[in-house]
Amino acid sequence: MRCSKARKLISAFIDKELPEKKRRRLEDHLKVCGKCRKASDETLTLSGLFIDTVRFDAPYGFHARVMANLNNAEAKGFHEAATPTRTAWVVTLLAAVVGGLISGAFLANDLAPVKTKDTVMASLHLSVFESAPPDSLGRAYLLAMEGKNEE
Amino acid sequence: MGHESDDAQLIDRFKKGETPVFERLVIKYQDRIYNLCRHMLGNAHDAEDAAQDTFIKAYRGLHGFKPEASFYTWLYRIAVNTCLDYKKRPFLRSVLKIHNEPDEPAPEPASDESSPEKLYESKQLMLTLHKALGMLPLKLQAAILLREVEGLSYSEMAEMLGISVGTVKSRISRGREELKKLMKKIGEQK
Repeated sequence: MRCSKARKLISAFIDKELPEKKRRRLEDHLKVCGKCRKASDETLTLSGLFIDTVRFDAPYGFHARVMANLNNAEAKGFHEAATPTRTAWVVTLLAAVVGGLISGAFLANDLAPVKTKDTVMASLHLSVFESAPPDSLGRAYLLAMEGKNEE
Repeated sequence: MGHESDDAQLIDRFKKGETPVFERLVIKYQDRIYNLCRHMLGNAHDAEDAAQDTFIKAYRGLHGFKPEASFYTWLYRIAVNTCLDYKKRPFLRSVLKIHNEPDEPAPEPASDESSPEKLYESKQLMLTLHKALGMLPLKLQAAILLREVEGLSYSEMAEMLGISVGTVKSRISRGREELKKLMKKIGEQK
């Protein structure tokens, strides 16, 4: 058996999960290969460390809290609601961003109209300094008076 | 993992409307599920949340549970997937922290050694193991914990995780090799 193959079998060997035939072949290899034997010993040591791992018990009252949560959910009438997937969240977020950008563009155009040369020139026209500019109340009054005089 | 017939009877009663019998399943498996969650997530708070979620998901899905399957492995599968989701959940943690590090120090080793030096060495070793375990890719970590902490066989793990026995073997082998490298690296940094 080659070392490359033996190394792949070491974990299963330690866990006693190898078929009989493979187990014997690996054992024969480990007898003659120091490097693979060392690798096997290291894996065994590593596995042995977990024996000292503390086992945690569920905290006091755990099952009561589980049942209380379930009872509360039933009281509220829980149903198998679909949990939004990550894709749904991303799509929603993108839609909100795009919607915000579009809304912002419309608002920006309404509140701050684009200033062109014509609009700037119109705002500087001398007619704004007349006593009765075309769109003013004064001009409207004068026109109304002219109309009366003609009558 | 025995008493599967007991589980089957309880599940049968649950399906017939005796929903309170679910509590007996919770009491039976709460320690094992909590222990798994605690080792996978590294802190008591997340472990309790994940374990609670596991049983709630099991309750909701129990009507669809097939009686010929093992409730134990099914419940474990829910627990593993829940813990994997918990680990992926904090976005910043996944971006800023390359490895999932436990929030609490490693538990004291269950050692009978009375010598202070041996106790100290044992504790340091457990700290290193704990840290290295937290640095493993999630699937490898789950495989190692199910094998080493829960003592499941390869076929049980395959059924539980919905993968082939070959994949289980590969994950455990890779997980152990990676653990060895990480522990050596952590040891050299000290």
